[in-house]
Amino acid sequence: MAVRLRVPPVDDPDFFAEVDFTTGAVLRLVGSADTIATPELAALLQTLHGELIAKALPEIVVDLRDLDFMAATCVRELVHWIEGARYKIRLRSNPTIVWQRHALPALSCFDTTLVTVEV
Amino acid sequence: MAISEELIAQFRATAMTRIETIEASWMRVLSVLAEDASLVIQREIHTLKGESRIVGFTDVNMVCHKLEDLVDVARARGYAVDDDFDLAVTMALRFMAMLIHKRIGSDLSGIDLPGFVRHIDGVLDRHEHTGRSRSGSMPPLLSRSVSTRMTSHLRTQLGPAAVDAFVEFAVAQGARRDRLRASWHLLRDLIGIQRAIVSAAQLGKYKPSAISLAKDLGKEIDVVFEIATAEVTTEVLAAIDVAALHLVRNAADHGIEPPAARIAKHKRGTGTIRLRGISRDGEYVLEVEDDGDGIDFERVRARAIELGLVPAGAIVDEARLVEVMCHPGFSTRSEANEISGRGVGLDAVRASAVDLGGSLTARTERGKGTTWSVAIPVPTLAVHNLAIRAPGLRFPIILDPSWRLLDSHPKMPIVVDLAAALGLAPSNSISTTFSFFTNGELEIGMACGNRPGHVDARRLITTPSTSIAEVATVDSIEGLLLRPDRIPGVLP
Repeated sequence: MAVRLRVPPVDDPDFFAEVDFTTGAVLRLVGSADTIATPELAALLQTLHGELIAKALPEIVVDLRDLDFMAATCVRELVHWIEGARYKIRLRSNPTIVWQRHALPALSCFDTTLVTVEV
Repeated sequence: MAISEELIAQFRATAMTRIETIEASWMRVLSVLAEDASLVIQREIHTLKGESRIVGFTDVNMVCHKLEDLVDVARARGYAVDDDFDLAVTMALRFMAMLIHKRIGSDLSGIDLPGFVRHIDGVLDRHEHTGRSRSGSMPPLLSRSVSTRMTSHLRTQLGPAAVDAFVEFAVAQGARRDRLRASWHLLRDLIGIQRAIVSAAQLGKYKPSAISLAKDLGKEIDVVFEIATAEVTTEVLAAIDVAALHLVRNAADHGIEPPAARIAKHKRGTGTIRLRGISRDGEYVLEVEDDGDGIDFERVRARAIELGLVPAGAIVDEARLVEVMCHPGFSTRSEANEISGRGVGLDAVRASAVDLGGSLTARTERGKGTTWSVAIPVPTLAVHNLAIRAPGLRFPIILDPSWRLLDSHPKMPIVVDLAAALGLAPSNSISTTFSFFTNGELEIGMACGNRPGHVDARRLITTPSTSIAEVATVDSIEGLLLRPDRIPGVLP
């Protein structure tokens, strides 16, 4: 069962995000993260960062396998989060989704010691 | 030569501002296809590339170069790019921001610069980037719109509102004064004149990078500075700075010939780039002179015809060809390298000068060299004239320099109550003496709480000449610089 964060997760008709702390930390992003979702995603990532530090968790899995689209503004927030990370981030990807195939390897270049892409 | 920490800190701050500007302009150009935003992107990236090279941030320089490639492709497509491309530009900007933020001595092992560059190359390949060829037509014309930047013109237009805010604040008391102080200070910080010093020390930072650049190109150069120190506004300094950056790089790259070619022409093997800065007639003029080969106008003409900038067979004089050289995207190079060839440098220099009402011109002679000259108007920053204290006003009033004190009592002066003239409650003072002033045409009397004396004032908020006053400071005390002939009822 998912243990939710203290803030409401992002949940709109096109985009859904939730965090599960049952076995480690898993952030699941589903649907289409359009520009309109940017502020909510930014708030979620900021809170998530605080939780991960507070719980002293060494890593988090970001499950993107059902994320069909992510707008550049949302990716910008993801990058911002990665820049401040002090824990490993494992991006679980779906190579059949074009944007993931192209963009996620570049995302790992920001810090290869922390960010890995899993196919 | 070690780069000073101060210069690096300055670069970091400036670079982050440039990246924010590029990001905002990128979003704008994708949404409304604004030509001005497109040009801002090109100029800011090119300038950032040059600056990063100067301070030794070679990684930023490399990503800048790739970003220029991406923008070239986007521009050639009229910015009709897909999400994949948008993501690449966004990540490139963020990657640069991260590189700029990194600290010396910190662990950089996790940053995969080659991997990131490969990613950009992959995006370029997918978008049929064909080796940076520039043989095609000029990029499509985008829509033009009014710039939203705070130009000096806009500042002057907002000046009267700031003057009103100052007067209201200056005469207010208690909590109201605290509230108005915040509004006045906000306006003052937003549109007030900010001063800076242009000097050889300021521009000398370009010397090591120019020499290094020339060396990379197999050339030898001396860079000589003859820069008159002058007080200017921060906008003027920024424009001079941009001009020095691009014109020195251009001189090293395009102007100065390799040693063998110079010696064959009976020149010294080492070329000279001379920067001259002169403050004259209300302008600051920066000249960048090289003793290179001069501008090959035939080559410029041929390239201009090829790009459709001038009709084939038309008679085009050299002055027009110099203008063409400053056209966005113009370059005589058929391929861009890491230093030049995109036709951005001269455009950036001219744009930053023209934005401030200035100009860019060139003198050249084949075989002898070229001198580029940037002239930028510098607003009058200081005023020397009479100051008075007026009843009911708790700040000094400085008279516009066209006004002087009359020694004798005129026969029919116009007597004004300054407080009432400024829209405040009339002072109704009966205890003060009157002084009389003239501008040669009008004679007015004003109640003065002191004998008028000469002061040196520094302009702070400028307004159109039709406004009653500006804000100026005397010994750091804020006051009004008054145009008495603009007081309501004074003019016939």
